[in-house]
Amino acid sequence: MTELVRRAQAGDSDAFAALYRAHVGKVHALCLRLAGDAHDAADLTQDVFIRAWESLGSFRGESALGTWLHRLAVNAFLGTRRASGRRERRVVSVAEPGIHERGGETVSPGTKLDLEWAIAKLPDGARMVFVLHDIEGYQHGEIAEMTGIASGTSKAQLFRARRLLREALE
Amino acid sequence: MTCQELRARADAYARGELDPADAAAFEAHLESCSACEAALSASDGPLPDVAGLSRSIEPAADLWPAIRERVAARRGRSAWIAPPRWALAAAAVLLIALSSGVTAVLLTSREPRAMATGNISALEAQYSAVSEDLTGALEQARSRLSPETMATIERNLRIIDAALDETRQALARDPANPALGQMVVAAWRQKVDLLRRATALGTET
Amino acid sequence: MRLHRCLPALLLVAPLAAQQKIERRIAIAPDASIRIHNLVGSIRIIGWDRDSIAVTGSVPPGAGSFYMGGAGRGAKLGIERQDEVKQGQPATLEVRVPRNARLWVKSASATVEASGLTGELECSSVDGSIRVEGSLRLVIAESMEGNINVAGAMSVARLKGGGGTITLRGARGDVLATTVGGAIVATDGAITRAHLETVSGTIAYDGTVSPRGTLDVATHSGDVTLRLPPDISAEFDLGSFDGSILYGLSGKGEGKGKSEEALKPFRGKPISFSTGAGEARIIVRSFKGEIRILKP
Repeated sequence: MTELVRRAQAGDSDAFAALYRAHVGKVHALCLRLAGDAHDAADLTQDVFIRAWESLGSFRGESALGTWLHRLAVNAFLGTRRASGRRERRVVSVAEPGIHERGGETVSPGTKLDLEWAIAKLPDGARMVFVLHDIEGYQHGEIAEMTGIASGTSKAQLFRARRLLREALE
Repeated sequence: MTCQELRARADAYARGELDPADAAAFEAHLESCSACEAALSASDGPLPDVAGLSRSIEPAADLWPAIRERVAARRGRSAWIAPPRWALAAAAVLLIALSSGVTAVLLTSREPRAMATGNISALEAQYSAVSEDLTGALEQARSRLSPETMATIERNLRIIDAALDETRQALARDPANPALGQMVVAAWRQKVDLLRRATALGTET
Repeated sequence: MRLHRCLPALLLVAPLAAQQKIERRIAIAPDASIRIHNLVGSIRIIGWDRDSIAVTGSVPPGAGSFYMGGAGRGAKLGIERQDEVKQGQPATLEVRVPRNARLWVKSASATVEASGLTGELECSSVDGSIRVEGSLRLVIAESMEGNINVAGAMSVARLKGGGGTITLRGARGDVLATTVGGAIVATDGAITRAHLETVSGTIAYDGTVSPRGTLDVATHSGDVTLRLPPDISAEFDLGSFDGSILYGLSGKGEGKGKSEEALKPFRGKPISFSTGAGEARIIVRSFKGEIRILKP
């Protein structure tokens, strides 16, 4: 448990701000891919950090803080799904020209665009498992715990996601 | 469901064509059958390009000021209460920078949401801060741009600034007008986008 | 004659620099990533069915030197100048590439033309014009001041101008086009999703919107004219803070021989209504530009 976390738990909002800055990128990336929508992702990210502030007292350091925040993100996302039902997502990912040169060009902006787009278009359950497993690196057991689905379901959804993505990207 | 049945139904499961009972049986089988899990993984393994996706994506605008406000409001309250859905922008385009060097632009074109006046000020403060940063960066890049290019950039910025002034003045006269709030945000977004493009011209080799 | 007296005369007679002619070819994969760089002059890209890049062109004296390298799935070519910032002599490049290649093109004032491509094209310019024809999977074009002209059914187009005009002909898929003062003109459109935005430029869209598609138009002071089929099935959402809104699809005038019906401009609420089954969505927002929805 780092000093920053301890101070934030004690109510030090500057310490919490520092934790925010350190983790917002990773939390937001997860929220963005779960929600498939920039507006929702920004709202979700805020929700996560507000919940984190509220429940930081119960964080015991058994997992890394980043993982704990990811769990909050998944919970928050599942909560929004239950609350608002299906909302149409319109997501397009696009590569911006030339700001950063990529040496090697093994993955061109076009590929990333196709892939992010295809991920956003997956059915919710498959997308959630795919993002958590193949992008964020969680195992099925952890995913089951975070999401409340059975690990068999997680394995099935991963298979479905990968198959649908392959088909979409051909 | 037997292993054979699972493999026969795999394609249908992937396409969402199994009825709920069969889908549940498919999933339940995988709970404990590592052979089938391995078989599915062999036929549809990880996608190679996924490793290149960024796991850290900064939000377009700084969310901290709004979080800080809510955190301050909640100090002392023990129960967590869901905040109202807060529109970051009714604007149609947000820029998100990926650390791997590819910038993703997410386009949403749903109806603009109403925004409270307090939120507009917070948004404006954010955009204004980003705008200042980019203007500073552009100044530094000035020597790498031709005078004609700078003149072009400045001409475009003047058009945007004039539009921004007009909408802000209209909003000041009619602060509860949600449509005006959205237009102010849109003008700020256009300014930030132009400054970003201009700065990129000056920093590219 | 003493040599030291000859030398100054000899030094004065330097040979004139010759124009560099380019003719190069390399084998490359059909979906290779290719970078093309020429700041001043012209770049012409033609898609072909061979797995190779063929470049022809010329580089005048003082314009820099041509470089090209690569193999397999990546290649780079272009004109290297000593002084990147100032205007130089124009170099011309004509580059034939595999149709499905992924291209990055960098220009400053050089004009860029691309045809026959089906892959991806990302092109940036300062004031050079960009013209693309074909059915690419993805086109990204940015020019601070130059015109951008795109013809054909691109799956995804992201076009950012400034003072120049963006022209779209036959747009079908997913389009984003934004300018500052430049106009946006779209003809023969049948988009699935489009966002057209200017600050002061006019916007003219002529065509239709696919069912379940969205046409989203935003401007500060530009006039917006949408020419749509009179039987279009759409949900309209129109708002102009200080400009007029004219609707002419129904053909019902105000009884004064006018074919356009004036809708009240709003000051807080957009005007919403549906035609047909309300399948497509058409959203227009303006601060003080006029909005006109007319028949073709």
